[in-house]
Amino acid sequence: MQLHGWEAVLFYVLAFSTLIMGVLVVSARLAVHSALFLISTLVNIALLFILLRAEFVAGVQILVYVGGVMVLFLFVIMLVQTRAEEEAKVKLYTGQMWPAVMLTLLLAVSFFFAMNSAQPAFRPQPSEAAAQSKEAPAESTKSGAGSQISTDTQEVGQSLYKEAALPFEIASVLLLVAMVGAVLLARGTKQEKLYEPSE
Amino acid sequence: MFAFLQTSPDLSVILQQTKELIMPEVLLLLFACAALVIDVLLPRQQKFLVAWLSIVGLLVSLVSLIFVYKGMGSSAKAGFFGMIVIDPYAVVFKMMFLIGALLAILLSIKYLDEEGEQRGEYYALILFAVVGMMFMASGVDLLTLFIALELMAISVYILVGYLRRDQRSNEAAMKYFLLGAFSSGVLLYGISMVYGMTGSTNLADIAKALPVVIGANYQPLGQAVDMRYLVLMSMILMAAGMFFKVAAVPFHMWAPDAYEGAPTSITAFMSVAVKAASFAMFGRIFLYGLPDLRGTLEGNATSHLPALPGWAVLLGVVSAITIVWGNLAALTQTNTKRLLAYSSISHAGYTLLGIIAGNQTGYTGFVIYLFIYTLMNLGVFGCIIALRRRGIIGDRMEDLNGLMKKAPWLTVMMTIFLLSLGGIPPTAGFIGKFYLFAGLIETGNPWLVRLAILAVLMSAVSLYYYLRFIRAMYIEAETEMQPVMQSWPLRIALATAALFVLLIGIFPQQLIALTQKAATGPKTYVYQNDGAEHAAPKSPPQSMPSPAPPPR
Repeated sequence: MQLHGWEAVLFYVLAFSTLIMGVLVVSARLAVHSALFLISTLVNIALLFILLRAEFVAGVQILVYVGGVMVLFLFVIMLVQTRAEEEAKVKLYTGQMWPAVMLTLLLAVSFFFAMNSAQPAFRPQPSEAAAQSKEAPAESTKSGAGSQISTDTQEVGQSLYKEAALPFEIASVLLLVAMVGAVLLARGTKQEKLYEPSE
Repeated sequence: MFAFLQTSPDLSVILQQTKELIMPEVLLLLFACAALVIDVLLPRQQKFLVAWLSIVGLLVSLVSLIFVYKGMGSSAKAGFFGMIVIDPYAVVFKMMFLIGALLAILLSIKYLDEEGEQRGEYYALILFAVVGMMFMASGVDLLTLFIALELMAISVYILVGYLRRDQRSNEAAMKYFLLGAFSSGVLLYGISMVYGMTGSTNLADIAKALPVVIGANYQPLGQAVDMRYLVLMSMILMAAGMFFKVAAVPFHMWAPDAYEGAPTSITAFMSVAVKAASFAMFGRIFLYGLPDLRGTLEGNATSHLPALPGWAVLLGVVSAITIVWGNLAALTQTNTKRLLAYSSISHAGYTLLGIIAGNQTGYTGFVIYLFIYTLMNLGVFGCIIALRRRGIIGDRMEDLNGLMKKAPWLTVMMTIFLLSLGGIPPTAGFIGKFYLFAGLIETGNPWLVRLAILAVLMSAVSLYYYLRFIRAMYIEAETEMQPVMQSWPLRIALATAALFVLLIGIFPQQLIALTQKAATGPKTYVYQNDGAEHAAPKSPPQSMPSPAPPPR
């Protein structure tokens, strides 16, 4: 799919603000600020999904990450003492910062290089662009300016229970393991004694 | 929801046809859940019963795996919309994981009593990890592979931090978790790029699509496009993620800390089963999914496209560094668990050689070495577990001093395992190394022969630190007098492992026949003497142009 006009502008705005917010997440000193920047990053990514016509994923992104995971994060920040970091006693960056920056730049440059040579594959062809513009009005009349319900969710559901049924079930085991692990690691010895069956 | 499941014709058909393919995993999962429930009902003194339940579960799964193998016939069977496949490769690896977990649980029973942490979740988590590993061996879809990898990894993160009151265990779990999560992210990045370029997560489809995508005249929109850099980049990201998982240099930093801090029985489990599972997935992705990226990617002289090296070069360099660094770093260690961590890093390097060789001998070596490594490394760690007694962790080199007087049988078995790790005949380690190195030399490629020579040399260096153990056990005087108490499950596990290490070393035919079957799946390659590599598929090469004679 190609992005044209305002869509392209929106894409670049969203992409760059995602990146900036991502950098702010790791560089903010206050944990709450980090969490808020993370919310912003996640919302931006959800908007990018909408741009890709993946409404279901965007909705899930907002509901699960912004709604669920972030609330948990904020709870943890509330419960855990983070004052030491906030009072500038702790160094925010270790000596590994410059190697990390170098590595990131290297990765970025190599990505740019790799994408550059593959660029024509992502560029609209004259014939195809014409076909798209021909299709576009038909599509817009069909969709009626967004009044039609997207079949996105249905497709995801179908493939989740058909093609991806096995990984889906393995994921349920994964969640069980994570839960067992969380209980195992967080349970204190006092609680353990409390629930022990009496001999 | 259930009504939907039942009315959907596809799923019921799928279940009828292929449910037996995942029977070993399903049975194991049932036993794992049963272990969780029964653990709650048992009083503290009887928690060890969960261990025996888990062992029964592993045995039942093993039997069902053998039935699956017998029912498989000669051809591989795919199931669940091409998500998994049951072929000899998967079966042999699954057998390896089950045997590894079985021995690890036998080693754990007494050890957990010593640590005062005898709880049923431990065994349940091991079983869950094995379920993940089994799907890693049989998965042929990146989705299944990744989720199975995460299932295994999360279980093992928890197990590494299992000794909650031990600072070292906490630290090890934290390090392992952070780096493991990071490496999963890197791997996923590579996977997403491959999906973007080939349009599929199925390894067979990816293997089909890749030659087109990397072809010099790939014209998706009527215009020539050079996608090779992007493909290579995603391959490198995926390789980096897998290098983390198998602890190859330069992605090995977590291994010594995690191995040292984890409960010793989990160190044993991690160093064999987790590593073997990661290698199984590594082999699946690279040998089944990306076989066309192995050799040189052809350039195009007319449009000034240079030829690019494939993953054989990357893996060759990484395995050379891994072998050298793992062995050199092991020389100076005084903590036995740390030393064995570095030794296990170097063994990961040896195992990579089998993938690099790219011929039948190399692949056989790859599988057989992991099988043998499972037995011998579990054995060595079992001996270290036996040294754990009140007040002594048993992971210092001095703890081994004068072991010959205290526990002669233990010393003899430890010697067998150490010699096997060093690759001395007539132990099994020799057979494994022989196949790996022979595979490299068979290629006739001068660089690969040099790599084999390097590996042999470093294998000789490794003897130095294995002999340090032996010197401590036989020659040094005892430094403390506490007797070594061995529990009978541990004795059984060690004796079985030692017996098999010797048996495989002397009569290897059975295992070789089994692993050779497993190694027939992936495409083999022929290296040319001038260093240029050309694919030589076993099927008649109709689509493949005959390689041009090398310029002399």
